[in-house]
Amino acid sequence: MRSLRKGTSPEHQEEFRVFVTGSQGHLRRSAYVLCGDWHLAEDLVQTAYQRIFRSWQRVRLVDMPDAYARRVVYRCYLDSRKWQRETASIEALVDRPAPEGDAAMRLTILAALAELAPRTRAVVALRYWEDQCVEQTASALGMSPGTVKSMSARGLAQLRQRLGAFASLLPDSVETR
Amino acid sequence: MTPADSENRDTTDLMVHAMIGRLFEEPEPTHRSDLADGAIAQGVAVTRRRGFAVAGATLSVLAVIGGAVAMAGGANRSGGGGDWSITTDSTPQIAPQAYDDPGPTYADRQREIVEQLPSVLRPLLPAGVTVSPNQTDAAGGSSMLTGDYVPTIVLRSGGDDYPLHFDISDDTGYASAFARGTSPSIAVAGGTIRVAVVPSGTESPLHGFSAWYEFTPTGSKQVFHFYLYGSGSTTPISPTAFRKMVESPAFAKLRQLLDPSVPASADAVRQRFALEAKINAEAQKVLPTGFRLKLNPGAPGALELVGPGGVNTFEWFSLLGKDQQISCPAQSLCFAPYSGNGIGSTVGPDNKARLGVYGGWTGKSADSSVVIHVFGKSELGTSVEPTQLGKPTETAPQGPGLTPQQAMAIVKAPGVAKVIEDVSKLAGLY
Repeated sequence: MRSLRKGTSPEHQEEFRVFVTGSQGHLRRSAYVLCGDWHLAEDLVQTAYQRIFRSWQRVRLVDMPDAYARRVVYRCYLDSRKWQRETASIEALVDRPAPEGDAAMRLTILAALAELAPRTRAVVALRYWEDQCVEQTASALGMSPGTVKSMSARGLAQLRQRLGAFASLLPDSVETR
Repeated sequence: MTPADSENRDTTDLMVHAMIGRLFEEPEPTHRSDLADGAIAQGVAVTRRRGFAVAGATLSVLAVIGGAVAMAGGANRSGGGGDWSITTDSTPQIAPQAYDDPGPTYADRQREIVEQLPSVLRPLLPAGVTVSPNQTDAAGGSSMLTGDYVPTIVLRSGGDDYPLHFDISDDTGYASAFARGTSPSIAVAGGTIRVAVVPSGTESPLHGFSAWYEFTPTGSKQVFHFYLYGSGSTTPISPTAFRKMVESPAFAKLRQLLDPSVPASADAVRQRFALEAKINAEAQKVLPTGFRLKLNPGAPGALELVGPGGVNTFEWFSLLGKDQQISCPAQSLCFAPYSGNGIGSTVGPDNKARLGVYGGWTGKSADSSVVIHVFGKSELGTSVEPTQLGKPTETAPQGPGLTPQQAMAIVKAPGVAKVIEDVSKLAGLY
């Protein structure tokens, strides 16, 4: 007889493992963009997977479980003070031996992202890293399209300002659709 | 994003994407390989504490074995160092009536539905299909987004069991199931029906069948629907059987029972007070003075902790045996502000009330521990603590949680595992 406990039948557990194997790489990188630390990113993704597994009986039926999982990661990030509090700070990032070349560029990008407010950082990540349109971003984060547009513009302007010597990575003026 | 959309991305999008992509040009550090197993283990633990399976169990309100001792103002404890005696004021700062929920609550109605559902549904089912309570999932489940409780019942046919969910929202995918275009609308007496079935093995070799049923009454926007799944080859309720169901005179009683606008009866409220009295007859054996439990008005089957300073969502569970045990030093209390990432680190007796997860060993051996979740009042969202998940209907003031001393008193109370088990059986809906 099939086990009836939600999400805990052997079939569902195996199905969930397959889902995690296929989605964890991308979700880790998304979480890293949000919090700037690989260990925290893994904690964030782990928490998201725990929440998803509890509802796996329902999540497995949706058309795009990957999109659902991404939304959970972003919501976990925004709703929990932990990730925001422990996000790598610019002070922590610059308090290291001066890196050179590509390493310096990566640390500068991380530091610039770390200075964005959490919601702005989530908007920038969803819009430009995840390639989500304004409406999709608004839906995922529970805000209006107008707010997404204004946060996008403000976030990119702040990023460009804080990239310093690497400002040329971004265009002189930003367009937000 | 489609290839066409991708081609149309403007320069800004591409440049920002490329800039963020620079972060991943160096090799990523080694990752954990147990993300799935960790999530599954945690999910199973949550399921256990959301509602203990009561199949075959007898509700036991016998006195706690081993001689229960009230922990009020418990004796000094040497474990973990410091003074573990409770010194906080247990005088209520809020009138007890503030917690009483004198009128019918959302949880009252759901408990009433669960109790009446088998007898109301039974005469509507096809011959050979029987019905039984969902004994393996004692507390059912609530939607993360709406807090709607999903009454679930089990149909049995030909030796197979089929969970049947009466969900109000679209969490199980009614819209997409019917949008696949293979579910014609069929006129029946009083409205129309649709049935969508995904046969076994269609979506995945691992899947059984899934079936969605919908009845739309003529002239009404209140759609009735349910979702059924199982491991058999196909659903035990054919479209013809569903048509007979909705055209039966007894169908009106089922719709009335599941109508979300119908409040709980006065009898359901009386039953809740009686149930809370039984729960507290047990819980008082291990709770510190000034604390008691009540049923969460917005989350069926869930508990709240009422203390001198207010009310908190509350879950507790005992872990017996050496598998899936906590990681906390002996004779210590551990604390984490969030669930899902272990039990945190040790915490001393600082008399500061906290919201979060406490855990500790009940004795000296590492095969019996107690974990306590105490959080803010119920709220909604995809990322709220599972303990908090529920409709935000609690009107009493929120409490500050538990101090380490109070949590330790519960963990170390003689017979606490038995009390936790008995209280969980009483609070569970099945």
